[in-house]
Amino acid sequence: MLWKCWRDLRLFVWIGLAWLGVVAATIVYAHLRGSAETHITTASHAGRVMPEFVAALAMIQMAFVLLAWSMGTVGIGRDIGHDAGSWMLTRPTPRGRFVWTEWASGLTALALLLALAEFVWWLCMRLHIFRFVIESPNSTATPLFIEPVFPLELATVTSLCVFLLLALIFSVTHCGTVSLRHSTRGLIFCLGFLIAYAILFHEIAHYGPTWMPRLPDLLLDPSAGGGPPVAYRPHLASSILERLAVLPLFPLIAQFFLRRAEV
Amino acid sequence: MSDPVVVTRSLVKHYGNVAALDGLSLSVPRGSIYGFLGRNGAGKTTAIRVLAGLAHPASGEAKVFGLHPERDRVALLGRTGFVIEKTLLPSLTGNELVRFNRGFFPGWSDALAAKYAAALEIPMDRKFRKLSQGNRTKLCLLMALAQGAELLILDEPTLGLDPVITDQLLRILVDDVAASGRTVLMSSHHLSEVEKIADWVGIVDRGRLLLEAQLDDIRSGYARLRVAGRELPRQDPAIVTVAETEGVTEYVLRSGAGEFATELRRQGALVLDVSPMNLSEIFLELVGKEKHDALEVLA
Repeated sequence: MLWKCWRDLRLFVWIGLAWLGVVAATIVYAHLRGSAETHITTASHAGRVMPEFVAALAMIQMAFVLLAWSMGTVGIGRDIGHDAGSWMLTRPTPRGRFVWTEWASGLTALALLLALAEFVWWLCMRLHIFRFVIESPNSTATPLFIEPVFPLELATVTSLCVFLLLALIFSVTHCGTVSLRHSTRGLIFCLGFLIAYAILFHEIAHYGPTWMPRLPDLLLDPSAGGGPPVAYRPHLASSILERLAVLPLFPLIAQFFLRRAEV
Repeated sequence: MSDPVVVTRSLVKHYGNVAALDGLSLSVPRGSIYGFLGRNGAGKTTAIRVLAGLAHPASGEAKVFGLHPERDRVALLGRTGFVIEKTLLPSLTGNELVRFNRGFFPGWSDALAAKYAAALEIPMDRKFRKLSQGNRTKLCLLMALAQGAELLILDEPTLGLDPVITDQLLRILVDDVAASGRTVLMSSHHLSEVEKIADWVGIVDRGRLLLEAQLDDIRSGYARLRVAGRELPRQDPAIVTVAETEGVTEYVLRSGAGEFATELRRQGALVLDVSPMNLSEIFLELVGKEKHDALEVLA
């Protein structure tokens, strides 16, 4: 069954890797062109280049949101939509196994892709810093100047928070696809879920009574704001754990519907 | 009937206001080839879906190997090969489907898969979605045949197959499956195919079983009598149907046609004709009319 999961997901993995390659190549090209045009002599150069890296990271993450959305549409829900449900569901294995294997495989693929993306991004940034130091021996800037702006630890925690959003999108889409037994319906279900959540979030935040607890942000911001040194938001660990605990609810719901499904 | 592999009792299943199954009760003996006959929409596919655990009956009970299709579905599916809708995973080739499918069945035989792929002339290296309807059906059958199941439940297995492949498939069912003591439940409305290979038949219409009998009993027992006379009997255990047109009464009898004719002659009636009936004639007699309510089991 893992083999089938890989078969279903591999197109998205190749797309993710290709996109990553394009973004990395763009960063390197922009960086090389920038250094040819401008001598790096001052510390302000680092501050000028940083937005390019942030933009690249945003491009990767936005693409991964679409990827997570699409990856949720494959698997047993799509197979049923393609009229292969009677064959798939007469294989001698518990129906729930389809759901959990697909969910776990999808999350693993997303996690690996995101980790690779963040690593490539982080590597590009480190190379930039390295060049910056090498090419500006008289500069007062040192890697210590840049390190606090985006240290590895913060990058990792940020990646984890982004992963939680991607995992939520994937899980909701997968749950919708399995429960509604169609890929397109799964996509629409996820979109509706996110829009409904955003409206509810806004309404409660602005018009909800004071005693009502605020809904958590879809994208968890790990930092408490302000400049370096970076401070993490309070109760970050518990916020991450809460989100992690919510994720398995979606395959549970999907399993509930699939077990009772008539095909 | 001893040791039935499939048993249903008073199965009821509705789709909206339509009764797909209306008290269906059938028994499939172990080691038999059971032809499950009925018109389109008679309830054959719904009954098979219930046996596969793909549809939930409103009431009644179904058992396969004594196992409940929903509660014991994994054990049941491990011993039973189903061919229901002839659609597999569209993006996989035949070889990839074999690779995927074999992992589910400990009794899977690659040698059998290769043998049937050759016998049924299936292009195994083409994606399922690019296959013709006939090749799709054949690939579905291969998946069920090679899994080494004790019971095969096939819904219209010859649909879309050419006569040569149909013949090849029927030979496989007789020579490879039934000869090894395995059981086949095969729905169809092609009576000639069923008549070639089946040893039991069940005729279903409007969700109810109208007849369940050994084919040999049908061939030797069922007969049509045309009789002229007055005040002829209309109630008798041997009578399946009786109809009167222009002074001639036509009986369909399940058995004892000779004795029945003798009795009518003794009562002064003129027996015009006694003719044995084949499966096709019986099928038309049972389901080709507006009204029928006889349930006949010849065990």
